[in-house]
Amino acid sequence: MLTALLAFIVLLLLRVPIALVLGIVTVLYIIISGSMGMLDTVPQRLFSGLENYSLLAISLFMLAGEIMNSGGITRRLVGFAQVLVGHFRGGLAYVNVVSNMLLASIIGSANAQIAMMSRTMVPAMEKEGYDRGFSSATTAASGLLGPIIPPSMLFIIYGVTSGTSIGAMFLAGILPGLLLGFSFVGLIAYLGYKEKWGSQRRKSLKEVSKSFFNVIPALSVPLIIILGIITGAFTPTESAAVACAVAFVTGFAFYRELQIKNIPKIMVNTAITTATVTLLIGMANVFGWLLSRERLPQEFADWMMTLTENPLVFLLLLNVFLLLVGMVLDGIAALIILVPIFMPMLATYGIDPIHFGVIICLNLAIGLLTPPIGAGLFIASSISEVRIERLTRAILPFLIVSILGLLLVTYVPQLVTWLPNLLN
Amino acid sequence: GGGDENSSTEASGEGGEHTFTLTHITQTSHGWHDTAMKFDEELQELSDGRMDLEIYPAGEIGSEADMLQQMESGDIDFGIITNAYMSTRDSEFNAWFMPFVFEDLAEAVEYRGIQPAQDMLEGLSEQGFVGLDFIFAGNRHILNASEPVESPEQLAGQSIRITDGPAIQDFWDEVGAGPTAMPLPEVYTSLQTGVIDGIDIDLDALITENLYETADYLTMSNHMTWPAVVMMSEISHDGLSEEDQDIVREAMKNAIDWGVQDAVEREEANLAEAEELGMNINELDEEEFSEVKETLHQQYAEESDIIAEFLEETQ
Amino acid sequence: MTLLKKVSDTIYSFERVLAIGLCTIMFLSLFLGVVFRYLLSSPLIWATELATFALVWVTFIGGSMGIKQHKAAAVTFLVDKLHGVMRKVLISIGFVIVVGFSVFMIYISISWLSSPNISVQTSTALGVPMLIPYVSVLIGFIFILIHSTLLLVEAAVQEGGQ
Ligand code: NA
Ligand code: NA
Repeated sequence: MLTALLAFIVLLLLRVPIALVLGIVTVLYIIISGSMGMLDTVPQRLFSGLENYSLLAISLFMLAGEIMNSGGITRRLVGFAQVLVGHFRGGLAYVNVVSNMLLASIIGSANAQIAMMSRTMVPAMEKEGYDRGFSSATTAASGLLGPIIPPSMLFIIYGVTSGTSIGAMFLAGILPGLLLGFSFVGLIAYLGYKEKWGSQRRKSLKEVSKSFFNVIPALSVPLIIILGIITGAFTPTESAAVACAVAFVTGFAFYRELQIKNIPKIMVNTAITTATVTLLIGMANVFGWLLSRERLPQEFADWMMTLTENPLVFLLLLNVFLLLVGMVLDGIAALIILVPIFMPMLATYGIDPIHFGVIICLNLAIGLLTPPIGAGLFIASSISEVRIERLTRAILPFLIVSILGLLLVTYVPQLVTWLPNLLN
Repeated sequence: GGGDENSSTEASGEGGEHTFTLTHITQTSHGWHDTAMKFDEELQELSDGRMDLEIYPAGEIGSEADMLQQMESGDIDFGIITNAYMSTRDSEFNAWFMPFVFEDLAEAVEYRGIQPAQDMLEGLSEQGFVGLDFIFAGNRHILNASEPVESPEQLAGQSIRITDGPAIQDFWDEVGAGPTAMPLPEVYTSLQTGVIDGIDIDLDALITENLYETADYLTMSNHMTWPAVVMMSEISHDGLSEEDQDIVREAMKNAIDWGVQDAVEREEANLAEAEELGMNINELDEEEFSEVKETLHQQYAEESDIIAEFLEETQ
Repeated sequence: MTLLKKVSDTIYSFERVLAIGLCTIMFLSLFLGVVFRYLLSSPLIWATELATFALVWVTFIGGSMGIKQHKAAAVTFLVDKLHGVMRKVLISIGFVIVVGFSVFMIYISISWLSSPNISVQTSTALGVPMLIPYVSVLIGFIFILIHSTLLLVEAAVQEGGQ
């Protein structure tokens, strides 16, 4: 494993694309361990890692974002938000966080959310003078709320693998989600004060109403998504395709900024940005398969159990362990492997399964934003064209706040259990 | 440390030690996992501790296509693969999906040894597998969010989530409902918001996937049974001495004899739990579906001799 | 080298057309899936499967285009810091590794696809041979090999890399 780790670092430094680095390391490990029969499985596993319905949402939300930008929809939505909150210092950054919180209440996946918002918010914020790294970091960090504020794919999978009520998990996520969202707002306020960001003058009522009139057709995009999901017309994954269609009609027929001749370029861009992310996820799946085949996560978890009998220390170790796992494994794969291992331990330490579920899912969501393998980080990086190193630096304050939030959620279980207990 | 699990199955001959590997798609709380653990016990006992089993549950090492690929190359020794997936590779397996053949699960499991079923297992040698046996999850029933199901007419125009597979699709098309494909994790919220009206499901999934939280009406239709094919990698099989092959077969037979009884008991326990959870439960009058049944039986019997024979033996 | 460049550029234009077609299929099948289920009450059972297969193809075609366009996610800070021969050597080694890995992937993909069991596999909803989506892995790495070979030659020949 040490050789593999070393190879991993060297290959990264040689500017080999990260997706390929994962594949090369997996193959090297197999060759060194001498189990050549496993090599045949590499392309098969790569394929089936990609044959995943939920990846479609990432790709189609990227497409929707492209269409919204070309069709003048994003500009008007952001312009309207600017008119309302532009006189606050850091106004647009708050808009980013709050719209992510709203989006999180209809979408269950952080990656899909980051894909959509990076395409729209980052250019808009940059245009208003925000640093692109900061804009991209704000977007990626707020996307983390996607699987915490219900609905949530991670909670559903946790519910199923652990035998916990999914409805209760959804309720449990609300307070931690709000807590994180408002912590990000606080962080932005602090950064804005420290960096002395400017603000615009308050707009007159006439300007507000003109901008509102302008934005009405653009509002149809989020509105139709929200209504469609709530009324059961389509699933959150399908909403990505509906968003493309609505954005196309609005940009083409109402604003007349979208032209048929733009479409090929939009599609090509989408294909390249999608592939940057999905190829990485596919290769990470091959790598994850190797880890589970070798039972490394299991061995590590078993070893951790031997370290302490104190539940508070156990929870701390658990968080460290999960953060490390989240760095290298995809969230859903990690849940499937780890939950059955940890469930029997919970009784020993007297930990509520709902509380544990929120801890594990929050950890794995944070893992999406941590190098070296953070799908969310790469989505934000490739869409907003900010280099990974720069984005990592910009996202650090948000990660620190998230980890503080995680610790709070870990040691104040009432934050998680209060709402489900109240309503059951 | 790498690869030692793999090399251990290569050591063969009298008295060789074997740590076999087995993989399946279900959670560790599912009956198939318990059967796999039973197989481990039987292996250890019958071989005087020379053999044991390592289990990769819940699709940990990939989808069913991945599992079979790893078995084909001899990297994984055993697999419990759903009949639904196997039917996409070999249409004879559709025999088990003929609608309204078995009264209930207890009846279905009695037929696992019949000749046409053995013929299906033997056909697997063409793909590099040794078919060992069939194992069962609960029978298929209908869970509906808004009303108890009584007749095919009532299902017309409803979106029913199904597990993909040609015969399953044909059944729901013939009923006149709209069969919908959707990954299982999306079903919970989709039933809640009404994207789908119902789901073709077994009782075990109903309980473990918490779907009773979002849909109230359970119709005990027993319209299909839900087997999995238990098989071994041919490479692993051929690497064993004849004595050891016998031990493996006997251990597996014992485990599955136990497993099918366990499945029948689970079916009853799950039904009791559904009642306890306050679900609205009704029985389906099979007569209402007799036309659908006749049409499909005839169509599939014409396509395959094995299916024709299967239907003859089970009627 | 000019021949290599011509081949790589021709493939890239071909990939552009494929990418446009695949994105359209992905969008249309999901969108029509909603229309047929919600408005016409007759769901298209194959819609999600077709969209998923299109996505797998997009991954390999778009991934290969990304490598040609230097858009694949990579860590660049060390290479950015270096100049002259050192930079040229490091970049070239990186490309040699990409070329080598592509050759390896092509080799194991061919061995995987030529197994007799591939031909018996059909997809669950559409019922098409699984070879159709599977072959995307092979084609993708063939294209990656061609593009990265050109990049390697360019990096080794040109002053200070690309
Ligand atoms: Na959410
Ligand atoms: Na990570």
